Amino acid sequence: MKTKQKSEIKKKLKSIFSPKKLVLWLSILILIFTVPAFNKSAMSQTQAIVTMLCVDKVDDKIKVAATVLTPSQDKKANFQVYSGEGDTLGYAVDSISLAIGKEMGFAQCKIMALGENICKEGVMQALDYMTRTKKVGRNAVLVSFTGDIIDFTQAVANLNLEKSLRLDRIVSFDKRYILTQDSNIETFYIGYYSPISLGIMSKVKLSTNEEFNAIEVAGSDVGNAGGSNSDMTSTGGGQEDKKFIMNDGTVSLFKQGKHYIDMSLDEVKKANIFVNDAQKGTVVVDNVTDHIYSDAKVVVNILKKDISIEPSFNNDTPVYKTDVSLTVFIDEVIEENPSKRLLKRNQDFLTNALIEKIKEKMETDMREIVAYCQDYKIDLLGVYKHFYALENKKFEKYLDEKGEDYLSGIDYQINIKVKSEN
Amino acid sequence: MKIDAVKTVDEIKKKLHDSGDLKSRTVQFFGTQISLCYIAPITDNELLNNTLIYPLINFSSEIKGKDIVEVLNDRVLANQEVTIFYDLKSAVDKMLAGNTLILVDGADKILGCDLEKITVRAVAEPPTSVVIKGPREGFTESLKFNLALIRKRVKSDDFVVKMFELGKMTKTQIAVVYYDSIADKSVVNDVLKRLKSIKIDGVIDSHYLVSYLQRNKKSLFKQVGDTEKPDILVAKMLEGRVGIIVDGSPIVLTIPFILLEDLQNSDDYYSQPIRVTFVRALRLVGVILAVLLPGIYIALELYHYKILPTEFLITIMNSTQGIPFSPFIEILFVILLFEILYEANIRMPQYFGMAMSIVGALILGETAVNAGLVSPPAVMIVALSGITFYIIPGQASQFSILRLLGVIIGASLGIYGILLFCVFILSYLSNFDSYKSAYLAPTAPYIEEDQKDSYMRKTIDEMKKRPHAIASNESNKIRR
Amino acid sequence: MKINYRQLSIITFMSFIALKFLALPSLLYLESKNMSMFVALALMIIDGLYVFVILDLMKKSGEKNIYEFMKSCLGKVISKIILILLILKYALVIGNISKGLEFFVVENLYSEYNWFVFVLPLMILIGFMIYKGIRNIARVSEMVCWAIVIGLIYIALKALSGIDVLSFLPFFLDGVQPLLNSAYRHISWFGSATFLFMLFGFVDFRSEKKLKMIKYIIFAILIVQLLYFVFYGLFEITSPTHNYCISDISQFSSTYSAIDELSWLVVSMWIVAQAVQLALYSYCLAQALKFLFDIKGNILPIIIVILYLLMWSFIGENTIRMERIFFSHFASIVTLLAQYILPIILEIVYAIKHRKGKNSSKKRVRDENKAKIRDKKEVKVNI
Repeated sequence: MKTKQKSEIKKKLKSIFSPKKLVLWLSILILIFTVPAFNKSAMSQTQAIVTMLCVDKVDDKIKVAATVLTPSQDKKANFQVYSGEGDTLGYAVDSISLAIGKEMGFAQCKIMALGENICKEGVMQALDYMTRTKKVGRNAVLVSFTGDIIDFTQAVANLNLEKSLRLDRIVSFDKRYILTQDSNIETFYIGYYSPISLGIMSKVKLSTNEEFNAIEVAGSDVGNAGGSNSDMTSTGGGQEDKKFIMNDGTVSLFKQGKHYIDMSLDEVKKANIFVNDAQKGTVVVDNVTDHIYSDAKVVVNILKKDISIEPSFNNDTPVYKTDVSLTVFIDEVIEENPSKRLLKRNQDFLTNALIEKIKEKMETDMREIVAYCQDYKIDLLGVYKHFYALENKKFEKYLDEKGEDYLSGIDYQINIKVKSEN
Repeated sequence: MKIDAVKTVDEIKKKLHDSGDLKSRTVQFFGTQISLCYIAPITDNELLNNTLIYPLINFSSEIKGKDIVEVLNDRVLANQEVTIFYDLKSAVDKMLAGNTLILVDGADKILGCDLEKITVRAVAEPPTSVVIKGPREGFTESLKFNLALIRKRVKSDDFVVKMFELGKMTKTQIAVVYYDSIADKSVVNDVLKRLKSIKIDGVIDSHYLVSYLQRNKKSLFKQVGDTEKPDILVAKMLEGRVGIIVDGSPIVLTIPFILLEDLQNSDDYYSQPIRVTFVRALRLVGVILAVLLPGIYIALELYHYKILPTEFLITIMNSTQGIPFSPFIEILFVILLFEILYEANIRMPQYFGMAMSIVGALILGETAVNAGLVSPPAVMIVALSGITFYIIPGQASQFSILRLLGVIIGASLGIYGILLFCVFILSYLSNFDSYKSAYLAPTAPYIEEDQKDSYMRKTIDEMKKRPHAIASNESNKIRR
Repeated sequence: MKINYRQLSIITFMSFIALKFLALPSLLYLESKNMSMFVALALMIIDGLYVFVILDLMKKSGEKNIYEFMKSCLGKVISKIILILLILKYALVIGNISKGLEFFVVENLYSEYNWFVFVLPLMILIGFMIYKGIRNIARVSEMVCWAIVIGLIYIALKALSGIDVLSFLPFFLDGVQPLLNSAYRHISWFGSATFLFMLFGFVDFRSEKKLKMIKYIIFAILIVQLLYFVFYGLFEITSPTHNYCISDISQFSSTYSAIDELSWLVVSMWIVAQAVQLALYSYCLAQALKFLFDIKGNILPIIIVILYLLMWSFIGENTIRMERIFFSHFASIVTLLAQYILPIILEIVYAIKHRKGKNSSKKRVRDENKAKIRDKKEVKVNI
């Protein structure tokens, strides 16, 4: 009986898996997969593709504004600015979706801009929601901004449309000169979760007055999209006013995810000299006088920079020794009578006097930036990281004693070598 | 069998249903009637007159007491090939192949002289394998002539030609050619066995034999190689392959076949190795573009816009806006359009062909885009894929089906589906071994010795061994 | 349907890198912090050594399959128990790979879709590949291996410049204990040599070159170490929040230049690697089932394996929960027994059993070696 049953099962299996029936099954399978595809629209039509998202807090409500990519007849990019608000970031984003009848797609979101108010109250929740739930890439550029959220968003959209400039590129260019690291969500996270909990992001200002270094863009009026919570702004139409976007090199520092202080361009430049990440930079020295220069102001451009940091302990006193080796070239010389110098074409202009001046200036800068760090209790130079990595046990003991004020008891030493590009 | 010169001719006529092209001529030879019987269109008149009629009429030596058939065979017939038939059926079969039958009254056998008129077109460069530098001779439709083209290149006693007939009605001559010391014996025997077991009415072209020779009969993929050029055939035979020539077809089949063969081109061996390596890489990229590009495009559009760089996305968005069809239907429409144009173009007479290209490519494509029926990227992608088909012309027919499958899968499942599709194809082809050769060799299985002429090519003097991927006589792997 | 030594090396290479680039690095970091790389390194080296132990057993088994070999050493009942253990190991690996693949695809490539529709083509592919046998899997691995390797190296090199070496210091801050704990906890992600058991009798050792296998294993270790170095160097303390090592590295390093986003296509190649690995372990599972239940044909075990695969598509939504449940103690014990203890037991039992006939076996080995040398002279092609 059993063998009979077995053979019957075999027969049935064979009939199910016979080549002809397999072809039939496969055809049905292909149809199952294919039929829905016939009516499927391109994702770029069903989703609102967000390229920049701005978030701020206004009157206890979270306000968001997004530049959304929209097709245009010509070959250029075209953006619409949509905004919405709600009790939470999720509600605010949903309010835009509701108003425009499209799911918000953040996969192409390259910039996330955070307003002053939310920066003060803490940005981590907003960042976590956007990266975890809405899938904003953690490589998205992070900036803080001043001014009205909608105006700022519109101005950034116009910057792209009118001047073909992209804010993410402007900000990431900063890294080479004025920021020590990428200003993006991931680096902000790394800073936030580190023991010193220090986050850094670029700051972009929006103003209505023309200022030095600012880029002029067209502003626009704001029209309601009909929804209670959402506003819609569009380019063109309405009475336009002028807006200015300014990236003056200011950097916002965050502690525990909240805005702490802003560093000016000069302060950031000083700090940058002593960290390896920022390879470019300049040193300006005054009153150089010798056989080539006469009371000259000399701007020296850094071509290459090697920094070696050696943390150590000298009788329980931490010593933070920085060896800086610079390869420089002389960029600008400002002096009353340049004729003396111009005639000596084959001379090495990096004179001993100039080198001494550079060293002097850098030592002063170092002292100033150390004092700045100690005053505000912020570890811009990576002191914690170096001690933790290389002198761990002693440093932990030292930390137990000093606590948060650990920067103040350290002996900072600097050794500078300067050579010309030749 | 007793021959009656007149009656037997009548019998033959009856057997051929009084066929109009059957001709006969009766002459007296020392008092004995001799009938010559032949099929006029395939008989060379000049040869007939010079080698048969003229010697018969002018023969004047004494033949007393001698057998006339023997006299004819030994002293009269001035032909290089005389066959003696002992039955009428085989004699008639030969007559249909171009022999002239000599029927001697009262004899018990029939003589047959091969006077076949070889009607052959001029040797020309085959349109499917044009070379820039290299031999331009191509095979013609005559087996004898094709063998001559091969013999011209092969002057070795090792070269073997096995001839036989196939087709109950057509009695087509088939020649299996190979090098005895190089080709694998079991492969040769397998080919001969398969060919001889074919029961078919007629073999019109060599492709009639393909399905009998391939292992996976219903597969989309090509399993038997083909060539139209004698230099390629000889090169392939030198690697251990067997050639199958069919009378009436300029396409010669080669066995075993591996996928890499189509990636190679005869020009490759007449050019600089570095250039060849580059071109082969290009061909490989061409294969990927040809098969997968439309599928990937549709997958990106329907599922993965986030993979696209923003600028590229903007271009696509701008150009696809307002298209009335869904992206899938749009791309299917464009593919269909291109396939129709292609089919029409090759079948059209040449003077129409040019007009067709202009109408098809310029007017139809341009107006479809302008009318907003299809988007420029879709046209461009399908056109690019279509052009790349012909970077490997031998595989073009497979590619068009695979492309369609790629589009369906791309539209249904996205990139994930396309990747699984690729793995499936690789897996499927991995099992395609036939005639002791792996289809994907020398990549899978990897054969180090064969890498000298796979994706890259070394110089001829560095190719000291025959490819291991092709089953051949192991003791003769080294080229001498 | 045997595979040659080179193909075996490539499959081993693929198996060594298969599970390493999804959630594992982030999970390792939770416990072993900046020493995670070393945990992975140590476990992979041990895996590498075990490859040779199992290969030694494989050679000793001659033409026997694993079941016949175990039966001759340990008896029928124990062999079947061990087969159950191996089935559990393969089943866990299949679950791990299929879930990893699912999450990877869902999170990185699609925003809305029905996984069930997606698992069907995977089932067809895996079913086809197992049906065609180990040679098919080996050949496909040979074809795709280098594309995957190039993709991995490309992703790693692209991100290499942003690494801060200091984040890896200090070494062994909390001692060795956390590392051992972490190694034990995540050992089920390793044990990359267990698939070799089901290849007993399917490997042609005539073309054996041990150095080749060593090279492939070292190469696999180096690639994993390189990517881990980049991963931990890039993400430092945020490493535990990155569940998809390979896509996150590529995404994070593709910042501003537009063409870099195409590295997603390179990442997609990872799906291919996962599919091939899934086929390999599904094959092993089908073989083990065949031996355990003495099934004659191939179809029934394949159907069981495919249904098992389908089952996974219904289980689990939350990655972390899945990993905690399925890949903790239970999985660690199964892996420990299957990969690390079983080969040693087999070696010992085999040695004891064959001690008596030592002299005769020595002679046999000599003869075998002679035969090997003779065979090596023949050129092999179609494997």
